[in-house]
Amino acid sequence: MLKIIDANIVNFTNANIDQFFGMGEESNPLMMLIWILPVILFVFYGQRIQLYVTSNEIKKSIKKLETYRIESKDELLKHLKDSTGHLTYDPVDKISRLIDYFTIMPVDMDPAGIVSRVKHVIRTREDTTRQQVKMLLQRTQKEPGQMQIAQTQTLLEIASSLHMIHKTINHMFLTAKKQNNYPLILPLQMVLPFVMEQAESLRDAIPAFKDGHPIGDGIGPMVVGKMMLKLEKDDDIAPYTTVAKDMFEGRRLILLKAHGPESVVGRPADAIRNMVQAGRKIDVIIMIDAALKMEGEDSAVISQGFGAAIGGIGTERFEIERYASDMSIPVFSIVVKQSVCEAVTPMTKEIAQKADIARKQVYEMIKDNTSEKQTVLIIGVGNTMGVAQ
Amino acid sequence: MIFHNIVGKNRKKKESISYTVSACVKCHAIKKQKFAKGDVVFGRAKHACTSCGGIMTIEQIFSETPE
Repeated sequence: MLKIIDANIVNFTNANIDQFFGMGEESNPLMMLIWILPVILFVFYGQRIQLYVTSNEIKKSIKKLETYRIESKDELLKHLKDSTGHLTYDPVDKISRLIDYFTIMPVDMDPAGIVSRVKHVIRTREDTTRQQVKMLLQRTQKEPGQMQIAQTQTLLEIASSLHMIHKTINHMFLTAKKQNNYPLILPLQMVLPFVMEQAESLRDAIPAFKDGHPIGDGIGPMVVGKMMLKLEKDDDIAPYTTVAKDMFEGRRLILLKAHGPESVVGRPADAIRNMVQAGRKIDVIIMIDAALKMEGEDSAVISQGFGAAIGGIGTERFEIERYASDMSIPVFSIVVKQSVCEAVTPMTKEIAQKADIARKQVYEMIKDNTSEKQTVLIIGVGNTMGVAQ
Repeated sequence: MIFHNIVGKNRKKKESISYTVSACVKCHAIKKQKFAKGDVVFGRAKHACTSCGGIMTIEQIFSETPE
């Protein structure tokens, strides 16, 4: 047995380097060339070769992004045709213009007061797009439903995002190619897997938004929505937002969520401002939202923490934090962890089954952190598509 | 391992199926069926309870990938 092993071992101790590289006394010039040519080639053209190899990979991704962009636009047009029965006009030009809308963010050289300016720009975009979508639908229907407007607007936002992603990545790639500049293509290569993940998630989200299926981000509204059942609701607190009042073990509960089952996220900050202006005292705020899980973390895990759990561009969170700090209101949050893809695609069974557990945790949190006669504001944050109240 | 990676990459992503779970208001019977456009969580189910004929409300809507 030992002999067999010995026979199989290669003896490296008597290796001749000169012989190996073809540089010995009996050297062969052809062998030398075979070794030296690639070295010269890589020294002078290494970057170009790398650029060529990387370019091919990026080109494939750009091709995919282009497919997603075209698919999302086609799906939007198909949705318009399906939901309006028949179209007496050609919406392609109008839709193309809406998809290509851009937003110029306010100047941040003097950041003081920038949040209100960002909010103004974003709101203008939101409201104008909604109005445009409504007008598009009104051309075939007298009064389109809120659900239909919200669905079409979300599909338009998806198509617009995919259009912008494709345009930006393509621009970065073509610039690097034009300049033959390898270092320019490196950041693109690094960021591309994350961009592709987001783009694929957006593409996968389209069927959910077309069918009105709840998405992973809807877990917050799902938790609060059940607490609001059978209660009297007030839809005038803020646009696309609904509120209800309840009692729990001597505490006053104010339940807030986006108005379902439309594809909207509501305006919780505006609702809080209106409550504060109306002189309503709030002792504790509890926010329930979906949160991005870290790599390696399990999906649908519930975590508790402090601070305002709300995503988006940051204006809503800023205002909630400002009201909370101005009036010394503690803010607690409960989040259900999920991936980027899970957050925008149809809600998974694992996430849906956590709604009851999260609701129990909300009641526990109320008991632990408040006393009788206190008022607790509970906000279900997220897109409430397919989730009523 | 390499073979597994290559095969894994080429394997098609499994299609997930969406379900609607509804519960009877009277007898609390649970029914799981395929999701249909128009189903809304906490909304009224389109069908009546098969056990007692009572009203059913939708408790959950989720997507599941078959094993």
